[in-house]
Amino acid sequence: MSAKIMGFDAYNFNFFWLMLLTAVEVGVVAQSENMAWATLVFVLVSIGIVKFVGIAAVFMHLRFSPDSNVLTATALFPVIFIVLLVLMVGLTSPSAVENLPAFCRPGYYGL
Amino acid sequence: MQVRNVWTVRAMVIVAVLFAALMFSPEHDARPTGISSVDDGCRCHSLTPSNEVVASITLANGSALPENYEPGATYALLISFSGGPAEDNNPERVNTGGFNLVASKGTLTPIDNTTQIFAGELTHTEAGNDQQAWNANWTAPDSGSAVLRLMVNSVNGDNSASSDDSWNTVSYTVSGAGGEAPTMKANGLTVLFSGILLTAILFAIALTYVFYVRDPESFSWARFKPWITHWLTSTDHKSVGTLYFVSGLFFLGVGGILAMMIRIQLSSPGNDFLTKDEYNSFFTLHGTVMIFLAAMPLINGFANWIVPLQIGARDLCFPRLNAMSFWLQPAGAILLLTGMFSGMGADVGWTGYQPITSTTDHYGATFWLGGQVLLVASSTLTGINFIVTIATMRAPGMGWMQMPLFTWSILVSVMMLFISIPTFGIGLIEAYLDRTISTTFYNTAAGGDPLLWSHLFWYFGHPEVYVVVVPAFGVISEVIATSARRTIFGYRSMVYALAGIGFVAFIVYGHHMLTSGMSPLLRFVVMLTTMLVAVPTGIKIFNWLKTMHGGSLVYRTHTLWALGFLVTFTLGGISGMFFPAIAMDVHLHETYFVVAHFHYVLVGGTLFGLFAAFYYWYPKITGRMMSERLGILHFLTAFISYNGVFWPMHKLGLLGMTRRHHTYYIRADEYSDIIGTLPPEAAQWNYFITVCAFIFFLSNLIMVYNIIASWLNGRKAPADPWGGWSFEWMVSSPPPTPSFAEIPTLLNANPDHEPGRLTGMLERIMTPDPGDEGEEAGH
Amino acid sequence: MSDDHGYHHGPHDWSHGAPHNSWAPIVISIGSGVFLFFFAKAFTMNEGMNGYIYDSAPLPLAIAGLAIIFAGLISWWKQDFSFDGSYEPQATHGSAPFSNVDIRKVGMWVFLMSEMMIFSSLFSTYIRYRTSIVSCYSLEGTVVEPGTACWLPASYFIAKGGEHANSTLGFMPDALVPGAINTFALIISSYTIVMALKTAKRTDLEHAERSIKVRNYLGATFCLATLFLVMKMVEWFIGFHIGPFEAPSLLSDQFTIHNDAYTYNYGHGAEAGAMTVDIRMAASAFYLTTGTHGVHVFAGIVGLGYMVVKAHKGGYGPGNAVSIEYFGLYWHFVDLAWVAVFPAFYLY
Repeated sequence: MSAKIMGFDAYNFNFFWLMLLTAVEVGVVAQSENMAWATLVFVLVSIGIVKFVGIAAVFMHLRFSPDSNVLTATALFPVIFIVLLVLMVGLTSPSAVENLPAFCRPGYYGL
Repeated sequence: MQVRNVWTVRAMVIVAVLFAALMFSPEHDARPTGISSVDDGCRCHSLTPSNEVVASITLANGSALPENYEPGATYALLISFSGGPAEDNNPERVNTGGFNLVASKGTLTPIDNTTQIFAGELTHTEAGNDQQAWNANWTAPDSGSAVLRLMVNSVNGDNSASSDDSWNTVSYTVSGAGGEAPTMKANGLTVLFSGILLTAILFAIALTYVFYVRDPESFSWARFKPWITHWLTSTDHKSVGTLYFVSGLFFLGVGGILAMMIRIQLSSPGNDFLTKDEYNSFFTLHGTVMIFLAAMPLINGFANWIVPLQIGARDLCFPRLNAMSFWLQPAGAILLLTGMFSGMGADVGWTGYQPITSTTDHYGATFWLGGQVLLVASSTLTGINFIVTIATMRAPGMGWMQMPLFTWSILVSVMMLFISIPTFGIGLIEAYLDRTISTTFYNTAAGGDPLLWSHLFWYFGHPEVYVVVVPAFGVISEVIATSARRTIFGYRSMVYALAGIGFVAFIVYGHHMLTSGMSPLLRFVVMLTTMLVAVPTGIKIFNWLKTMHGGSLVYRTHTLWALGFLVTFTLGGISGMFFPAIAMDVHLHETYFVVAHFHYVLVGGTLFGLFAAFYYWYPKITGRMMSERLGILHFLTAFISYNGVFWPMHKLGLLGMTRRHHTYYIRADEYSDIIGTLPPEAAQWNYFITVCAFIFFLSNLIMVYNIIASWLNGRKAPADPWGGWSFEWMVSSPPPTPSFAEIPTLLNANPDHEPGRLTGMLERIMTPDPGDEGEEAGH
Repeated sequence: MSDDHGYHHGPHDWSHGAPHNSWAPIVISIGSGVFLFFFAKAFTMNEGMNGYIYDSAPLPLAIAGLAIIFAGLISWWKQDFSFDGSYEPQATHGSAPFSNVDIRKVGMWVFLMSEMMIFSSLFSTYIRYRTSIVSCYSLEGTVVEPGTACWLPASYFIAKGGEHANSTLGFMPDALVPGAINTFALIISSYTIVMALKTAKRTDLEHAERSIKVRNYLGATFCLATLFLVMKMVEWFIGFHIGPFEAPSLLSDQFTIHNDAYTYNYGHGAEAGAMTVDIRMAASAFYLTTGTHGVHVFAGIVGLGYMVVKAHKGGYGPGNAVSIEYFGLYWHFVDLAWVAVFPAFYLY
């Protein structure tokens, strides 16, 4: 497509940043012994989200295309079901509760 | 002779034959009153027999019972047992207790005060209590095989029910002098195999006969090859739909035969027609076959046939995928049923709870898992096909709010199915890998969690049961509207109710796991959401009632089935509303109350909806009219016998009869407190249910006969025999290929169906402009 | 019936004589059934549930099942090979909000919805077990009974280097190299497939020249995808021994689904110790998820094989470049899944 981001061809721009972010990701993990667990998770998740959006929006034409709106809606439709699935299947093991932060637990709200 | 008289005569003959068959049903050697005695009797033992206790009958001189008796001779018997607990108070005395002996032929006579005859059976007296051996006489009959059935109870003597009190049973057969063979016991597996084989052969004969009668000239080998090639390779939605019907009806029969086996086993307490393992695999396969190989294919058959016609499309959007969806089903079916006839079929329940599914020594379980993986693939492809077809191939003028309700119901059903079934697929693959390459997903020793399977299964399983019932809702909407000769009342609320059911179905699945040790908070949430999901369903029921109230009903067979659906599905829904109340669920879980509930909604809901659909759309599909008389006969016999089967199960459940147990026992008297035994009326109800089940099973053959006979001799059907007004009634019966020579345009949609604000807003945001195509192509 | 006006009909172009029949569905179904049947016969769990009994006799039949599936695919492809995009089914005008969208595109997105559910279920399993099974790190220094189940993440073996940590590059363990290569390979392959699409749409090239370029881009994607699978096998079974890089395979590191007596060495100096634990759960979750992703890559490779052949024969042009786009959607999804799987399983 002839879509452009900041003057560069969207595909090339996206590709460059994906490579860079991946290099950062690998480097961060390689040094993971020297950083706190929370920082590691934060960095990994942030980089993951940016890469995810980059690929979905640019390579999968969810941003710069006339049918982007309806297809984005289609792509995001399962998100609610995924959230339900992960919550109800992934986080209901008995000890899962112990590893959650306090504000995720019903006792925090007096329930 | 007038037609009416012939039918009366035929009906009477059929009823007389059925009645005669009932009279000749084999007697069963039941123990409905349990072990009894004059005084308290032995009433303390566990529910299932124990292998530690060994009972035996020998002659008084120590030698074994003779193989053949002399007619009229008297034999002195020694009744004894070994094994069991020691007495608490007196460790020297071990293995004491009581007995009960029944002789099917000949006469038993006590010879001392330690034994007595009570209710026609030989048992011990108070004086003869707490012994290990007794003596009695048996006088042989003149002829016939005599079966001596001995039950012994070995107790620890503390005069109360104890967990180590054990019992066992043994059976001896003594044949007549002529060396008659002992009465054979029917082997459950043989009966099953014979039943299925017979069904298949009869079906093949019927099919061949039909084709021969329709066109004897074409009945040649040269014409067979293109015919069979067409059926094996067709991707046309009408052919695939017919394939689904054929396969679905066949497996409906197979599932029904499995159900009959189960009912024979349960017709009397302590029955031994099926062993425990056979029973387990039969109810597993009954559930799996009925849901995955009967209900869903039949629904898919109607979806394939009717949805493209209703939306004005020439075919589905991915015809080869559609054909593959179908063909994955027989492939999956063969895998599912592997091991069934050799006694190694999957014995894990259709729910496949862990860890038994990963550890059972029945190898059929592995193939059961693999077969279901194929069915998961089939359902996913079906989902893709129907969602995209309904979303993108509607005729001009047919917006979302102008679609017929059957199409809406298929859309919602298929959407639920294809979002939830990949989860099931992953659970299946994990269990399959557990059983093959020994991963540890459900292996508790390695940290695996059996509840993971329950979550994955029920995340799919609950939407699945809505998947099978929501299309029935769609059918009933169509049938009631057409029969009442008016449009459905409250179309928009019907659509929103369907969508509501589709979404809420995903947050209620925990109600299948309320007794599994979930956190109380989650149980509470699930209770609320489950009660909530009844609301959209209730809205639909009220809308159907209001449709009839505002219309003028014509009573055809499909109308009757729709009315029957309204009754049975409502009853089933109401009985289902007991379960979200957690305290009730703890009491009713795994009892026959659950069985009654889900059969009311599955059979009384889905199956009755499918029957209505058959009678409603048969003229469109085959171009012939079905016989109304046979239809009404089918409805009356099936509806009445069906209620006779499943209504008493509510009572049985409340009495405590447990599901998935191969047999049950009746307590001796009303004051008995043996855990797990049922009052005597339970045996009577079970027998009644079995009889009604056979009537129900046979009554459905009326419909099969009707389908075949009408196909041959039915009146030619017009394009629109019932006065419906969706697109399928515009084409001829049967429709040509392609279905529409020219795609119709929907004009004059009911003014109630105008697009609302929500639709308009969404369309404005999301619809791409046609003008951008030129840009796309130019890159 | 059909007057073609000289163009080849698409597979669904019934108004122009496309057939309503195909052998592919039944053949593929039979092949799948045969494969699952004989795979189950070949591998049976043993009595102790810590290994399997392997019977080699059914394995050729299982492979025959795969061959039957492939034969069905060939039949499918033969029908589609001549499709040149002259009839691309689009949503009808009544079908808002999908009007004017290509039906096959909607179909691919709907398929990806179900794929999202598959990977979400795998992640749910992973999250459930990772939060419920105690981590082996937290058991360090305590007295544990041999064979206690604990979670030792794959990152211990890969990103943290485990006990055999070599670090040729200095800042990262050698064991991470195959995973890093894989990540870059997938990203580059996403780029090459997008370039293939862009090239196929170009109208300023001669058809022959354009076809060669498209074929080359598709071929590059094919090679990168194959590299991915090869690196995965290297990482799992073979070990990475190229030049100065020495990384043991996961198999040789004993990170397997049958190892209920893994010796976990911890600590340094005075605190050093070893305990025997059961790490089969972590291994099962790891191999299933990354294996499922690998199977999806393999399916993509099979599809790419067909597309390379078709591109070589000049089958892609501006008219049916969208076919590459639809495959590209699947391929980008596979890349997205890797973006999620890689940090969660390899790095965390």
